[in-house]
Amino acid sequence: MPLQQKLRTLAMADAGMQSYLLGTNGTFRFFDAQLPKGYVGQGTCVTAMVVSSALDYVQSGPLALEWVRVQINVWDMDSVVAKNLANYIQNSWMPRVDCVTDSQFQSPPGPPLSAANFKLSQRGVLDYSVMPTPAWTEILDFRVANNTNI
Amino acid sequence: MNQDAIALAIAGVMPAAIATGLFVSLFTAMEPVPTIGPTGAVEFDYTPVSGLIDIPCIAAPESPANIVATEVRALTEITASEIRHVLLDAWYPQLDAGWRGENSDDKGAWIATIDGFNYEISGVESDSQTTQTRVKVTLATV
Repeated sequence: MPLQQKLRTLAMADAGMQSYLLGTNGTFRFFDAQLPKGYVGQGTCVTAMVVSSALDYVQSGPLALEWVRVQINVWDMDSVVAKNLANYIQNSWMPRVDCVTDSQFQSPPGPPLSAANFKLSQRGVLDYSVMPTPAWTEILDFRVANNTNI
Repeated sequence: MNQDAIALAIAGVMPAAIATGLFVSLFTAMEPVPTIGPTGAVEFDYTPVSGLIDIPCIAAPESPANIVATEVRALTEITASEIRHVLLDAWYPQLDAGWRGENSDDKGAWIATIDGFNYEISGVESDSQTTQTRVKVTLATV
């Protein structure tokens, strides 16, 4: 399962992420890399983009564990809402995202066993590509441990 | 001077234009309908906008007096742009309001299909007397 699919699946299962991203029309506004037009107007949006990934190796060859730099952008027309969701992702959601084991993807889902996710940086910008008024964007940079066999 | 005559003359403009038989092309506005995949990747399929389907129009080249070479050669690519100025047969405020697809609105940018070709909409304008809507469209090939 691609890392972005893992992240989106776990976000959809999280009540806190749902409260920000699940629209009344049923759309869960968590996107892969690009922010499609027309969604910031509906509410807070998140995009997750893999910046790069480094695979660990041993003498016999590559391991299944990769360290992925993930850029998570949080978009909203209200800067406070964007910052609040960024804080929630940092403090509550990402510490419970396990991309190393399949525990959370079982039925019923189990607890996160290895949520080795590290926040590296955060910055806030205005995105002027969102017209006619720019969107507030909190950019989170994470290093995520990911098992490529899951 | 009977000023009512001005309004009557304006009201007669488009019927007279249509009566020439020059509105031989058909214009359809298309809006993007997104499908979101399991990773959150979005794919857009364009579907006709209700009320803006098969509108008779004149789809003229940008400059009717001559052929304009808008093909630009570069070292690694060729870009060909085809620009048309389209006159619709009536006033369509729905098109004027909806074509932009701004990010903060609940919709995406529309495209236009004219006689089977898909064009990007570059601009939409209506006259002050709301008798007609004009559309500038571009077909760019890289």
